[in-house]
Amino acid sequence: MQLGELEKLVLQYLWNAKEADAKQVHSVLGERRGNSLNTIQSTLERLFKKELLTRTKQGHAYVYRAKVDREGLIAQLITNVTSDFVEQGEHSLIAAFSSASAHLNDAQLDKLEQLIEQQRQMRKGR
Amino acid sequence: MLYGDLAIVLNLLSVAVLSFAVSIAVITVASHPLLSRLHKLTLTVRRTVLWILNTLPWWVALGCVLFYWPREINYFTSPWLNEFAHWHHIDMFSYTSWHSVTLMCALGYFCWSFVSTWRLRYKQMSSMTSLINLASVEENKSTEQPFHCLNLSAPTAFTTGFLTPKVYISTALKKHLSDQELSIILRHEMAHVEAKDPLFKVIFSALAAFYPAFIARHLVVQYTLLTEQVADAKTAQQYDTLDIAQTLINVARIQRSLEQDSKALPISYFGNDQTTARVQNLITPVLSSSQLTIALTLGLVVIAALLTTSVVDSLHHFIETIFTH
Repeated sequence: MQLGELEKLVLQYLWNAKEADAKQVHSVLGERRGNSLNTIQSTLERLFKKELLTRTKQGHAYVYRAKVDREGLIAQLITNVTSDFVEQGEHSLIAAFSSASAHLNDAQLDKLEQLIEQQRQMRKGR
Repeated sequence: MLYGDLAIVLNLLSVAVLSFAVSIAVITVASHPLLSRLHKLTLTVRRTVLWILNTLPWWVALGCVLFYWPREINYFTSPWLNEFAHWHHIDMFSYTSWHSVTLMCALGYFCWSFVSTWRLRYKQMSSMTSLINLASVEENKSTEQPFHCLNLSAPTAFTTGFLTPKVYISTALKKHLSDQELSIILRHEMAHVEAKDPLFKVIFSALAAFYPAFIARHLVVQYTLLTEQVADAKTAQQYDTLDIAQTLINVARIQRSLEQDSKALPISYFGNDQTTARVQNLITPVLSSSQLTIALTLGLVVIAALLTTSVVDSLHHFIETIFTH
């Protein structure tokens, strides 16, 4: 899923405004950036097709709402980046600082911490 | 039926496909003693061994093609070797032969593999571009190193990107870190950027995918651990190894403590747990490689080459007693 600059701005606007139709989005973003109402309408349409917005018809216009919040979208993008042909659990495109799994419990972490402390004490003793 | 140079090329290609498949089987069966001893190697030697193991079927296939390459009948001094290196009817190729079926299957597999990989990588690249758009660029106060900050309740720090990798840190992790811990994490991630680890991991994984799933997974896990340990070693040039180890523990604790709160938690767990192996390697690094493990690697290379060459020849003769050339 690729988001253009205008799509990002529209999403950010809808994350704050909760809901808006094309004219409302255009009055805030379009006029400031010099985008036409048509451009804003097609941007909203693209975001709807990408399943990032929902819409309901009110009168002659569609009213748009964000379908996913900012955090949900970031999580979805990271999941897309890590979707890989390597089996589940190893993502070839990511190099993460910590990949401590849920299987590593507090007792094991305590044990590792004790090892580190022992090393510190040994250094001081030298 | 084809005759001449094109027939020779197609026959040699079928030799390559057959020897590639046989070498995969041989290495799968024979590599277990080596795979369980990889941790006894230094980082540099381990990297070499992993790449050798991962690319070995390609080298063996190339070796077989060169061995069966048509040449003068008395090219070798040994008559036995001349007979062994002779591929019968190499200048004849039938479209309905098993050689042709082998080639078509291999071509189909490569095309399918290429298209599915390209689609996946395109999707990943698009998502990476969007991720950059949604992140804010910040700078570490003490080291002035820039990074991308993601507004996320899952505690995570990672590097991703093919040619120009970027470092990402979530707000949830950042707010729980001290200045030194943040600097250590950024230095570690910069080591991944400098080494272009995500790109090489993708290449390594693509090559490993030709092995059966359990071997491929083991290879990729070992390669991932290696890249993390190399990045740890790079970080240790600036920071104390024990501070790096402590940061690893602290981040693991933060991830555990925020486990209940975060709805996006699965994205903070990238792969297998390697914390224990990394902490142990930081405290007591392997300073010299095990001679036995190096000998096992060399042994595996020789066994794979010799066994594949002889099996390919025997298989060729066996199949041709049943099917046409």
